[in-house]
Amino acid sequence: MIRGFAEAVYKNYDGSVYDLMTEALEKALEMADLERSDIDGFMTTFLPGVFDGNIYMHFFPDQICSYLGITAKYIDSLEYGGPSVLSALWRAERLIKEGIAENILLLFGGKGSDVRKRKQTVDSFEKLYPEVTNTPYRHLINLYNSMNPVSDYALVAERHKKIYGSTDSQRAELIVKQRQNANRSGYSMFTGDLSVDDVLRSSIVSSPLHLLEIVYPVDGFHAFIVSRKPGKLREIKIQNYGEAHQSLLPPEVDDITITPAAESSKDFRNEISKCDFYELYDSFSITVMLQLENTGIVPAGQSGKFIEKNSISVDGALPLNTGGGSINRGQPAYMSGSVLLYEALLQMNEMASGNQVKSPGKVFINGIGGWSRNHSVSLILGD
Amino acid sequence: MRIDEIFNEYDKMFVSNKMPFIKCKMCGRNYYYPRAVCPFCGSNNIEIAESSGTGEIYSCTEFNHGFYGIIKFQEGFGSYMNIDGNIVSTGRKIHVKFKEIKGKVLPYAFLD
Ligand SMILES: [Zn+2]
Repeated sequence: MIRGFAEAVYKNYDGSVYDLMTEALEKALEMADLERSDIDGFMTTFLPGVFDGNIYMHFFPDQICSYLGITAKYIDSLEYGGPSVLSALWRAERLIKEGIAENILLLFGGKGSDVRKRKQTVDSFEKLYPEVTNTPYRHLINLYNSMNPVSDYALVAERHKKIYGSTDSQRAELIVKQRQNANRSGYSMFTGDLSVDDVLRSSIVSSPLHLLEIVYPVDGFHAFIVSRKPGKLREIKIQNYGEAHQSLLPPEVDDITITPAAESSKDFRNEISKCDFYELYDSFSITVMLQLENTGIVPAGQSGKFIEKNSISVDGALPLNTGGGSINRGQPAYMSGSVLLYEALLQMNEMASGNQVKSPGKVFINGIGGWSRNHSVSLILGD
Repeated sequence: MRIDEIFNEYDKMFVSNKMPFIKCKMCGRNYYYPRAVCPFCGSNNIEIAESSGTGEIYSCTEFNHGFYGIIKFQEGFGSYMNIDGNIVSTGRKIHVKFKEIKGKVLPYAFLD
């Protein structure tokens, strides 16, 4: 079960990435009432550029353990972007059950602002380092005019408009409603009044996606400590779990509006509808809409209309991205999975103050990401 | 077929303004992005073929004053490409043209 969780998130962190991760770790240890010497398992992720601006670190997880003074019996790095941390939680629970470790630290994040300031995204990092190739397909992909992942999601949003008639206003409506959740939460980075017109008047980055529909990369780490013995937190664990990894490229699939979330959620669709609140990956407005449809929460093509008609606040029809989502909280190191998990844990432990879901029993979390949104992790947390 | 042979053959065809794709002789599916085994059935019984170079825009996006999208070709395979022409929109028919992009001749989609 999760015995400690913490975040250290800043729009621009002036200090070293090592101080940033230490801040998250120390807060989580304090909540868990554990010492560094109690940690005997370590899981993380590495994404070129967004750790400290450098493209690579030799034997990354081992170097971090060494720096933090962690002697682990088990070390792992999961490298499929946003949903990786959700998979790490599931693996950590199983490792503990098997007796392989007692207290496993999941430490996810980095200084994303470094890549942002160089006007690149994680997927375009190869433009700064010509000796790097992101894919085996070389010039057949990287010499074209793409701006992935933004252009990739723009293509999905455009296709969704074409086949289902969803509209720019419907996507903007989702952004406005998530902002209202952020305003109520009192702990979001981006707050204040926001209207559908504001979203539609923000610049078009890659049509049809506007600037305000796109998550903002920030600096930060989240630390989660998964333990065999309970501490002072509610004893919640994963009730249902699925992960899916797609190997075909988007141009090779028949329908790009169907993501691997359809596969990762397929074994427990009935349970998803019974959850009390929902944290869905929000790298872009369209990402949330795809997951609403692909996991069976709303029928295919209906997410836009659903968002228009329904409240997503903590006391609404479908409490969704209750803290405002990473669109409003910022996306540490270009990966939002930790933001979803952190908010779910705040709510489940009734620590969300003015924006608390009333007596939550279960939460559905879905993460989606990696190269070409190839990866999805679906899970339900409960007692 | 080795992967380098596929890339070399693609590059040769681009230079002579021909649009290549890979035909799987086992399952009959076609694909574009070079793999020495078919991503649909795992067979290595494949061959490089020449496409008609015609298809339609499956989806497109505009940024940096240019269009980019997914093209579905007549032979059923899909690829990312820059798109050129007036009033680019999803569903419109295209044919490929070729030009040098950063030192490599590559196909791009041009509206019919
Ligand atoms: Zn085949």
